[in-house]
Amino acid sequence: MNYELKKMTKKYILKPGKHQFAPGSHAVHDNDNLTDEDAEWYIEKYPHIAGLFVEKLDNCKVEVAERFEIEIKPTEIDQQQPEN
Amino acid sequence: MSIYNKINAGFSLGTASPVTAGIEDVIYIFNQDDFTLTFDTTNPLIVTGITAVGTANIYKFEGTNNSFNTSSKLAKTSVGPRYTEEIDFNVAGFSVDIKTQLMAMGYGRTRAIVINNYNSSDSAIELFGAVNGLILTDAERSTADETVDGGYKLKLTNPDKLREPYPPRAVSIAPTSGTATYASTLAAIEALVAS
Repeated sequence: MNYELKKMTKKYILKPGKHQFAPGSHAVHDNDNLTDEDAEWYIEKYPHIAGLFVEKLDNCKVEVAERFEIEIKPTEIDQQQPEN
Repeated sequence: MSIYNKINAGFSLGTASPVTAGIEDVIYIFNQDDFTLTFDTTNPLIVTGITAVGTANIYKFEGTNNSFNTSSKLAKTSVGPRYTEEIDFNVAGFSVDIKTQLMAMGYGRTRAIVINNYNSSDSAIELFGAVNGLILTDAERSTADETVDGGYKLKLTNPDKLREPYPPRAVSIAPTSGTATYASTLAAIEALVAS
């Protein structure tokens, strides 16, 4: 299942990779085996894993948009003052 | 079938960036229980993320004069290869604080990240003790020892009867957007270091 399709069907999407949720546990958690119900349960028990998810948990759409923001720097032409 | 029982590449002599010895004079050590790891989806030899549980920190031990060393050695067993890991380092100091840390490393389990002098590689930054952790097995201070001038000589190794099932893992952490590089990995680790 690709990322776009997952985004439509799942609320909690992990960053790429196999994740440990508790220290010392096996790194088995990824998007293929984590349901939204499980994700909610794990987040409640292990709050530190919130950072492992792609998007902000309270507002899913914000962070993805921020990531693709382009910083526009003024060019030399913009900075040139008109000569009198 | 495992991905590890068939080789699928050969290697030519690295003449463009020849391999060099040694590690940098810094070791990052953290408590095993304080951090969770994320591994590459297809290759468990690559650690792609380190996440603090709560407000835990990584601690930085600095040295000088190329005096730190690591080694990992394959041990053949009836159930496959296992690796023993060793990290030799020293502390250029002598205080109650240092002794306290040594006591903790002797009782608890830690993991350690080292930076190889050879950094033209995707395995320049390595994690030791990923599965079973490391404990302090040697802490020697001889006041007349001129090589470390009365500092502590230390050794972290696998706990008794526990070896690692993989060679030391490569740490490769990507920035917020983009691919992982040596610099992005180092920045991610430094961000977790206690200030």
